Amino acid sequence: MIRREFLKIIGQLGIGAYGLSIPGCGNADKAVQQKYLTFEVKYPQTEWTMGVIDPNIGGAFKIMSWESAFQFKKWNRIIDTFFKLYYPNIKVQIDWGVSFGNYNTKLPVLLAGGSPPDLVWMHDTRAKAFSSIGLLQKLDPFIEKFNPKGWPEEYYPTQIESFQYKNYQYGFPYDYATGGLYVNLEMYKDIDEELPNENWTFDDLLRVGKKLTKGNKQFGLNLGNEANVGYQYWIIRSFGGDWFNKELTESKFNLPETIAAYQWISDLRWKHKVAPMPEVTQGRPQPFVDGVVAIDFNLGAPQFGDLLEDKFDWTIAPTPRGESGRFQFVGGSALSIPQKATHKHIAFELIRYMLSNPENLEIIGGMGRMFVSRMSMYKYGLPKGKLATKMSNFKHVFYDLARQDGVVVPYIQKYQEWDDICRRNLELLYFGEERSSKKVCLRLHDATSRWLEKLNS
Amino acid sequence: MKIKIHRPKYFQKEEIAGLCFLSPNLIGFLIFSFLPITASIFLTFTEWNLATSPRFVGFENYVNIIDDELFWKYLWNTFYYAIGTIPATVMLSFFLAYLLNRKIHGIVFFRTLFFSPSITLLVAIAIVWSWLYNADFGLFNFILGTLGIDGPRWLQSTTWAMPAIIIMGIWKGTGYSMLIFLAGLQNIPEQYYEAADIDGANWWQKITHVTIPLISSTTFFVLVTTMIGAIQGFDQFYIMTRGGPAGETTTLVYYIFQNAFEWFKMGYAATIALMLFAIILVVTLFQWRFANKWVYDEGGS
Amino acid sequence: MLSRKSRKRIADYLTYIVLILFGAIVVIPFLWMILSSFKDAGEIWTFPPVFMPKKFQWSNYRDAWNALPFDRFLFNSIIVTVCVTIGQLFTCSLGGYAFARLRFPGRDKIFLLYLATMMIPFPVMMIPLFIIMRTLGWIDTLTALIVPGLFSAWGTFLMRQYMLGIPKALEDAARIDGCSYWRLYWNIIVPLCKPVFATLGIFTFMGTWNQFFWPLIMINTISAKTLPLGLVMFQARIAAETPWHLIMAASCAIVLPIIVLFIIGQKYYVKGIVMSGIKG
Repeated sequence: MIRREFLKIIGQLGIGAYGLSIPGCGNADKAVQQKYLTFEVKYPQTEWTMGVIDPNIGGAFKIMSWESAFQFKKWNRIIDTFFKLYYPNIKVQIDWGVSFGNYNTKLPVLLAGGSPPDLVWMHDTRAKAFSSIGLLQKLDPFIEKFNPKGWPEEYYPTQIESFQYKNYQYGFPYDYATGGLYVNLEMYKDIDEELPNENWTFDDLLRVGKKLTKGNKQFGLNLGNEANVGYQYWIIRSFGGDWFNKELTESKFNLPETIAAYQWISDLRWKHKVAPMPEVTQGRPQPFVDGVVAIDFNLGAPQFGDLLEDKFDWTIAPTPRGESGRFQFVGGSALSIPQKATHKHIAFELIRYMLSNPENLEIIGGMGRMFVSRMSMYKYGLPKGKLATKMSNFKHVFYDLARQDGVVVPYIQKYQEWDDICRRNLELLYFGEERSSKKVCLRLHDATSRWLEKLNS
Repeated sequence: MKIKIHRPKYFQKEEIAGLCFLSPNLIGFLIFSFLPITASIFLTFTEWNLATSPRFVGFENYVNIIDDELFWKYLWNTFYYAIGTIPATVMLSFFLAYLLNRKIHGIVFFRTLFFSPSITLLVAIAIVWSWLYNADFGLFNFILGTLGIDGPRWLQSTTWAMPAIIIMGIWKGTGYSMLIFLAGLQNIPEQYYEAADIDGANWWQKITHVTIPLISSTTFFVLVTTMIGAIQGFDQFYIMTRGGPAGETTTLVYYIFQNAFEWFKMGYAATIALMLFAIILVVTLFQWRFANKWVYDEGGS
Repeated sequence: MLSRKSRKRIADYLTYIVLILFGAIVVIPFLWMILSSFKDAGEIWTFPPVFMPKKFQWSNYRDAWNALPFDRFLFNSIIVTVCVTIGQLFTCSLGGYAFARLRFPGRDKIFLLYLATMMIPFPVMMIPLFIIMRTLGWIDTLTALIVPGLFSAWGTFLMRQYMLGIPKALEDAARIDGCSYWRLYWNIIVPLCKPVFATLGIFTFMGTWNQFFWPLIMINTISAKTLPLGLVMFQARIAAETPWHLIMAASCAIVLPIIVLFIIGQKYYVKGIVMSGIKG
């Protein structure tokens, strides 16, 4: 009996001590950071370091990235060079190949558990979520002191905006992606039409799509699906609609323009039957490559061309313009520094070295996955060889038009939570169980309004 | 005549032995299971976004659950999945284990065959089953078509998505339980069957009067673990349908995951987990009480 | 009336038919996975889907092995899995025996507590567990993967249920002969538990070998990664860039030890207890 009592008391003490320790660990770190963020130049400056940190400093520098095995080899070289030149005693630990889906789970755990990396990859869909709860370091003091080359004129405005929250910069853009139309020329030459250009209307595109559709074997026009609602934001804006108002405090899903836009998207699939049914695209990530779709909306990147190779004759074309103007999808990634990182100055110097150094940009741009965020570096992201002839208008479609008409998806502060609400409603439309976008949009409007109320209260 | 055993105040040898045997297990349990769980219980009274320190909010999370229509919807989904998979898995795995317990040729081959779903990569399972369920060229709709039935949209239909995953869940879970039943069946001494034969029992009577009672403790295990596994199912929903369409295949554990790691509402996630735990506990306690009646314990506890 | 022998033969044929039918359904995805490991990159996502690769590309295995330090991953996986499996067999059987046969205060209540912990979904425990690991200084070490795995509520539960089914007569006879608890456990119970040891061993091995989420959070350096973590390093942000043929090849290779272990383990599924040696 006594033993049991004894155990109970120990248990309670232990639990109490443990419970108190969770809040405790946050406060200790804050004290360390406030002391740390100074910019006293104590050491000799070099081309890529500001002399704030002792070049002989030791310890570990941790990086986390979602880049996969094949993409990361080139980053490795650049990072190794930097540390060998400037901080030879630092041990670099790179955790790469954390696949994108798991990345967004692992990062909060590391940040919450008090063991954050010093440099992290950040995606535009999560930037506001992470920065609004204070998990990321404001980069403005660093930018001011360290003066990265070409900032901000050389960077696409949409990229800079994507990684800002309340007018502070939380990510340094390193790549971006934009959307365009891929056209199957072999199917296209059967109909007597010109290729789409940026002055076409949505009706023009639909007309051509209808001509290109042959029952269930060939679909004329695929403008995206339920998997990523952000990829269709440009269509909503083109029709004059929107998701939220400018301040992100009200839902705009009840606007007739928004409803009309979603109806148009739904009709492509269920009324005009020019877009493939879900069962056609299910389990098949690239219907265009399989030759099932004649005109396909996809992110522009030379690598997509690699997939197509010589399968059939194809080219690219710009997306159309709507009644309210022309809008083009842009998205991208950046490099960020966690708020609780240990080596913040070194992290920023590394960012500057990786992304401001034209030599490095040649290497990264040449990887050709997405486009480099520096305007003058576009030529390193252009397709080469055979792809260059197939995509001779690459610069026009993907660089010039993106800069001109790019629109940032409003990744509102708690975007993931809203995305779930949005998806749960829109999926009915995409899967054809609801044919009236008005019903769906109004339901979504109610749900969004209620959610925004809770958010802003 | 009942002999009263006098138990001295200090611990008897059996009790000491019991605690010693249990101690390595118990220490691990306390540090790596009990401690995190009690911490989680603390979290239910807080709001924690993983960045700042947890903020004490009292019972707010619990109150919010009552109002949360998603919680109740996902609770229903979880039960739907559990009721769909548990009886079928238990019966099917027992049936297969029974067959695989017989002396026939190629027994190792067949056992490996039935175990293969458990060792197949989830990605591969998802791909193949997506094909099977494809409304266009999938095998299931093809078969239904030959019978003159217009097959449903399966994974893209709000009504049929969950049944589709249930079928896949039964397929995947049978291998595990089959193996456990197999171990349990091995435990039955031949002598019991021989005695039954002497008494003139046919095969059905042998099953109901010898086999089933003697593997009842194993059956209890399979029931409880299948239930816990079904209620905690996550991977298959994440990979096959992402919880869709329209949230019809989202279970409570998926919802917990979303709250904790996508929406940074750790306190609320912990509360949902506690609710889930309470439900499972009640069901298990019920099974436990009930089990004392039908589980045949060779030693008697 | 059919003879005993022919009745058995009919039963056997029926058994074969049922097993083959079910077996065929059950094994299709597994076959697809193996066949896909020999396919070309483009063949995996084709439409309509193909089962047989056009040409058997054995080079996929070699390419996958060379692309990443799989030798290191293999080494780490083996160490973690073997330690955990042996550890669990030991602690769970000891614990299971204690719960099944030994009486001590609070036995049933503690056991229910064990069951209870199985019902808490892992995502919720993960962060407190992470903080415990950080306090112990085990982050990024294999110790963090091994030590929590040395004990398992599930395994203890399995052992207990199985041991409940062992006839008490054996133990009583031994106790009368003055056997200590340890001798009882080691010399009598353990040999009788071969099937459940095999089962627990297979499941623990498989579970730890394939374990993904916990190592994902714990391990940050490549030299400490295990096989599943290594596998996922092939996945690119864009599905089209991921070398699926290498992933399939690597997955099949990773699955191989489990199959081997399973086949070896079959030997221990021996029919149970022969009572003839024990008289009344």
